Amino acid sequence: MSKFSEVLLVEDDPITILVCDRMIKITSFAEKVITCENGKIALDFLSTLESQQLPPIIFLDVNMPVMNGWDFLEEFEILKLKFTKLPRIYLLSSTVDPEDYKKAKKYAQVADFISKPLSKDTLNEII
Amino acid sequence: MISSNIDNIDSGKFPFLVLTEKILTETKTGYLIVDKNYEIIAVNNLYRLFHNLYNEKSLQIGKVMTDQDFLCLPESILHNLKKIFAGFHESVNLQIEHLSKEFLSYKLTISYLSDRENKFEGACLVVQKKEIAVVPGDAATQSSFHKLLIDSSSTVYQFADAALVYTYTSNAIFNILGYGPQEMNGKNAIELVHPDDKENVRDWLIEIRRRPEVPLTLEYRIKNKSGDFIWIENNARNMLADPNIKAVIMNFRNIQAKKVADNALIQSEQRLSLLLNNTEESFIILNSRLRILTYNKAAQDRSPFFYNAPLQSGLSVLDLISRNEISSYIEMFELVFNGEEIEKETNFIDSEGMMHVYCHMFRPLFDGQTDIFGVFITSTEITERKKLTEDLALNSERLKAAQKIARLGYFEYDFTTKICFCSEQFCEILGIPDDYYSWQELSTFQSMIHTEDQDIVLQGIQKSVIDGNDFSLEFRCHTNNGIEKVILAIGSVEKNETDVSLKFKVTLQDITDSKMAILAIQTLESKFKSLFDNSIDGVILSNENGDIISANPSVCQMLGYSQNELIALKSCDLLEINSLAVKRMFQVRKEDNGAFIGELLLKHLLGHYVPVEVTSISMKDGNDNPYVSTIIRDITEKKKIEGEQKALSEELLKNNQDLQQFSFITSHNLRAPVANLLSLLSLYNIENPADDFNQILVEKFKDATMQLNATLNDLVNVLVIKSNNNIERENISFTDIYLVVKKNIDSLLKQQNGEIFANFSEVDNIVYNRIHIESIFLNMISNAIRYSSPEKKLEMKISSYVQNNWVIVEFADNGLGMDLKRYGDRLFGLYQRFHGHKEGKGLGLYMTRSQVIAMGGKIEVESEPGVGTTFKIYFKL
Repeated sequence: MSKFSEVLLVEDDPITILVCDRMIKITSFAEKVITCENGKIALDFLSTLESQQLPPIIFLDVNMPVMNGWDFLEEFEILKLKFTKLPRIYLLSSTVDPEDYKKAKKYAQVADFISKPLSKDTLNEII
Repeated sequence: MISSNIDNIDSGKFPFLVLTEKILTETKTGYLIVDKNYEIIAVNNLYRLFHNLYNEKSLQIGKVMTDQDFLCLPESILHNLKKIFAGFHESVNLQIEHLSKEFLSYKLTISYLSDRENKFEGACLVVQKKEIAVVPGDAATQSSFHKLLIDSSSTVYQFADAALVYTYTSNAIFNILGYGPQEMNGKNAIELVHPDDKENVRDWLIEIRRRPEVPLTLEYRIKNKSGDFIWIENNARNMLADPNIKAVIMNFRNIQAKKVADNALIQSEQRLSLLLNNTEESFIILNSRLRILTYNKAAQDRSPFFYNAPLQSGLSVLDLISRNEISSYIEMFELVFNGEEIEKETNFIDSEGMMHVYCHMFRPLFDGQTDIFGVFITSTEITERKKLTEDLALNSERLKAAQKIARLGYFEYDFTTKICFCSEQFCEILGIPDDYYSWQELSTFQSMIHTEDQDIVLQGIQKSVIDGNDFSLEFRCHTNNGIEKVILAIGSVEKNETDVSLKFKVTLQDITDSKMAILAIQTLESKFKSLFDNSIDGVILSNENGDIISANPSVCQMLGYSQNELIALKSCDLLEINSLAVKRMFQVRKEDNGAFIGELLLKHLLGHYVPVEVTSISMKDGNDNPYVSTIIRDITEKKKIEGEQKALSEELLKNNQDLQQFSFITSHNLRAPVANLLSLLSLYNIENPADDFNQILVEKFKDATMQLNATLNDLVNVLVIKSNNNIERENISFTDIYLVVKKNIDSLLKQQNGEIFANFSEVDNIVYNRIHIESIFLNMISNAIRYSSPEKKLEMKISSYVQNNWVIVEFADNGLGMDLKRYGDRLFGLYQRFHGHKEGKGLGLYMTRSQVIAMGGKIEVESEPGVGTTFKIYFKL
């Protein structure tokens, strides 16, 4: 029995996708991992869903082409108005810029900032 | 007579005095020899007998005879002795009669004696008793002889009985009063006496009766036969008790002449007294005990003016003055009694409040040569005189004070007397001693005038002498104490009717200070003027209404106007009246009344604005009129530099941010592959190496390691660009570079069916680093190809041109374009990708920009999604 039914992983790096998918499966964090290559794709995907179809957890990379993590968060602020229940977003990045940590706190949807690589321990801590 | 006797004596045989003594005694002659000092040289007993008939004093040789010794002797003796000593007579014969118990008659001769050898001067009195022939006869004969003698005398002899009725009168009365003796006898002694003298005569007669044998004398008037009153001196002696006489013996003589003389004296005294009493001057005579002896009417009338009480004879003057003055008066009287004359002033305020000033002269009264027996005080009112004197002194003081206050010296030269007068202030101005006025040399003053000014002064005075007008001259003067002064002299020459110059009058004023002040102001003004004219800063003076009053050359040049054009303007014509700075300036000047210092824009004649720094102050001129002084500094250059500095610092800030970003990004980009490797490693199934997933992981290990390697290479490239400051420069042709780059990407371009139009005709050459330029061209062209629109055929235009010290190369394509609003800030960032194409690593534009900046240039971009993108690369010339 997995902790969550679904996780949306917004990430462009194929190795990271592979690693994350595997980690989530091993730790039984979620039954299903949906992957989007950048923010734009993720946003388009989410906008097609109903409230109850939304994944409860989103792992969001910051540095992506076309639409990065920040741009996604900006857009999601508008999109989220149509939903009654919202997912928890975890930022996933290898950044060392303190500005990024500050910036993350501005968004209510961001539950935490996870430093890469994603570990089993980190996943276990998310309840 | 005696002297001739002595002359005939043979002095060799007998001692002179023994012989003389013998002769004189034999001839019953009495003698007395005195020297001029009345010292008795010789006297014999016969003279002593004669003397003692009258006077009890004994005569001793060596004694100095005084008035006392002549008392009761017939007056004629001393009188004639004095006359002889005075040289009136050589010798005098006197007949002396003495009536007592017997009638005696003497002949007295007084002769002048002198002996040149012994330097002796003196007198000899020789007395001889007259032998009366009848004396030895009977009483009747004797009596008739006496009668004869008495009748022929000039003295009237009378006997009166106890009732003072005349019983006998000598015949001499006829000569004196004109009566016969019988007319007198039987009359009372009081009869015929002048009514005014009757009382005195009665008292005298009573006294005579009361005092027997005492001779008493009275002077009184008695009526003569013709009815006139004659002054007589009557001697009476009460001899009633004498049994031989039994009568009061009286003898009187006519003293009318003496009385007339006395009257004359009294009258003259009265006249003097009248004079004294009618004079304005007061006289008071004090005795040695300071008691008032006498005073005149003026003193009596005026005494209250200088003493506290009315005058009265016998009063002490010390009783008349106030107590606190007594000691000073006593001191003064002591000086007077020492022979000094003292002058003293007193003030007296009368009942009407008028002040009177008196001058009192206290003089000693001398008795003989040295003895002072009293004080003579004369007092005069000097109120008017004093006032006049004081007025005069005051006026002269006032004049002096006025001259002193005005620092006005006065000088007068009298051409006729050749006397100079210099006022005190005159001397002070010229620094000459006060006694200079005694100098009579005009040339002395002339020599004090500065040599360069002497002609002016001389000509000025000469002109005044000729035309008679006042002169006013300014000249420099060396004062006596070596100071150079500027003098203003105003004066005139006084002339008489015949045009002869009488006096030369000048007032002198030291105007050095004011001259110096004027000079200082002029110097200051000229300094300010020069400051005003030569200042780099512009200066504008405007009045309250904003009219420009004055503008210096600098501000004219700054704003392109001529001075006259600027003065015709109002200050607001030059200002951007609605700008905040201008509003603040007006507010500061108006409300705070202070200085506005700030930056403004001023309108140039040609219409553009000149940036200036302004110091504007509301001020008041000497007449309290407000005006505004504005100092203007052109800060165009400063502004330009400021702009450049601002751009530079902004760029520096940006570079710094870039560097920081770079460091964050590099660490991120290094961490990302490392994180991948770590994740892969954690997923590796060590227990079962044959796990299928392990196989996948190994492949991914390879990818991740490659990724890490590529990232490291990129970073090294960037670091090379960033750190290489000494980039080699060479002359490069854009055309050459373009051809080289185009060759490299030609296949790619053809694949996309793209076309490039390059035009470097305007500027083709630049001194630059070849590798950088190639890299920039490659990046720009490959980007254009990579992000070309799939719907359009790629067309790219490359051109170069010069603008504002930049050589600009423009790369314009018609590709995908970008939403710069969204990505603009990240466009040139490291590892920023905006398109989903796999080829982009987000490094190209970052590299290009880094290369451009490293060479001091910049890069700009214009883009529109679906239309295309234009990059402008700015190369520093």
